Amino acid sequence: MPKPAPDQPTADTANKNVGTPDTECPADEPALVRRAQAGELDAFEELVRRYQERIYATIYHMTANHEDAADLAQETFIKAFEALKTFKGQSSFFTWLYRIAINKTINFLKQHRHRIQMSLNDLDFSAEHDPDIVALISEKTPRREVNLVELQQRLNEALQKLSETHRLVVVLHDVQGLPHEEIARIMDCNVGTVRSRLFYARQQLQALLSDYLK
Amino acid sequence: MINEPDNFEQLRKLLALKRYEQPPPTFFPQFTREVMHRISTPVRATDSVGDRTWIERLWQYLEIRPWLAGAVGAAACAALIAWIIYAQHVEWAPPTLPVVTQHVPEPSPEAPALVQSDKSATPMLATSTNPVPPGLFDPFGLRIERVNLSISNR
Repeated sequence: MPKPAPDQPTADTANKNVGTPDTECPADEPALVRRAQAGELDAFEELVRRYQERIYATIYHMTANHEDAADLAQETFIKAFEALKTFKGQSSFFTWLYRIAINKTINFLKQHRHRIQMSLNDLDFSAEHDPDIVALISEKTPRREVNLVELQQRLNEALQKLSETHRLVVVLHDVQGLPHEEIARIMDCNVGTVRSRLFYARQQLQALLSDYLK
Repeated sequence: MINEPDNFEQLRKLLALKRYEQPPPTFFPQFTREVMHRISTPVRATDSVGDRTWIERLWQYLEIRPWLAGAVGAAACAALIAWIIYAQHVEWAPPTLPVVTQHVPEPSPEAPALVQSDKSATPMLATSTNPVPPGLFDPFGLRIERVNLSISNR
């Protein structure tokens, strides 16, 4: 079984071909990347706009800290711009960018294990109307909004108790919705490893969140 | 292949709550501007880790080791207190007093023998460490006479 993604972000690692085609690759993206490599800042700005939300979200779900996520996301794009000329196109720009973001995040988490997590409390109001969320919280509870905040806190606490690797697979698959194959490319491992890590992580979370699971 | 049991479905629904955690609406437009600004400025910001001074690296090192930071702070406070105590002890130690020799002249015959003068030069200790301003008075010209409390028959 191949080793997980290396600790130090390198362009060579990011360009490694895992074999299966990428799931996300807009038609104009190769041209956009070529223009960015040629020095066109407008093209790179477009790439930033396309992926900033997903990159930020992934980092935030890993760190549970808005400030750290914002800083790491900025450093990810700056690192990507500096290493843009080494991007060979063997994987999608999306996968390559994700690898940079994840390597930076994991390195950061290893250096700041005692960091205080500050979750975003700005839950979207539509969360309380989500049928899945409603099903989890009893309608008979008078202060459902308090339960939502409590649920968020417990969820973040449980995620932070996982190792970085297991937390990552849960974030990428169950939160970000990426398929196993894409996660395998990003993490530089095979699909079986992704599935086993995901299964173990879910077992851990289920034990930690048993009070909220019917 | 590992089959996903049905009881993970509830967990997946719970994890979906994470998708509702969003930053303020103005965050991402500002984020793009900041990234492009950092990229396009002449002195480009490099990787924050490699660009830090030794103080910033030391701070980061101590930040992730709170016990070590506390020990360093306690040691610094103890050293400061020890230095203050030592400095005060040095100031309060009694200095070596100089010996002042004075020649005591005999009293004049007209004056009542209120005191019995000591003809010998009496070494006396200066009781004050403060130097006597010159010209204020001549300490060596003072007449110092001992008091004679005996009752004399006149």
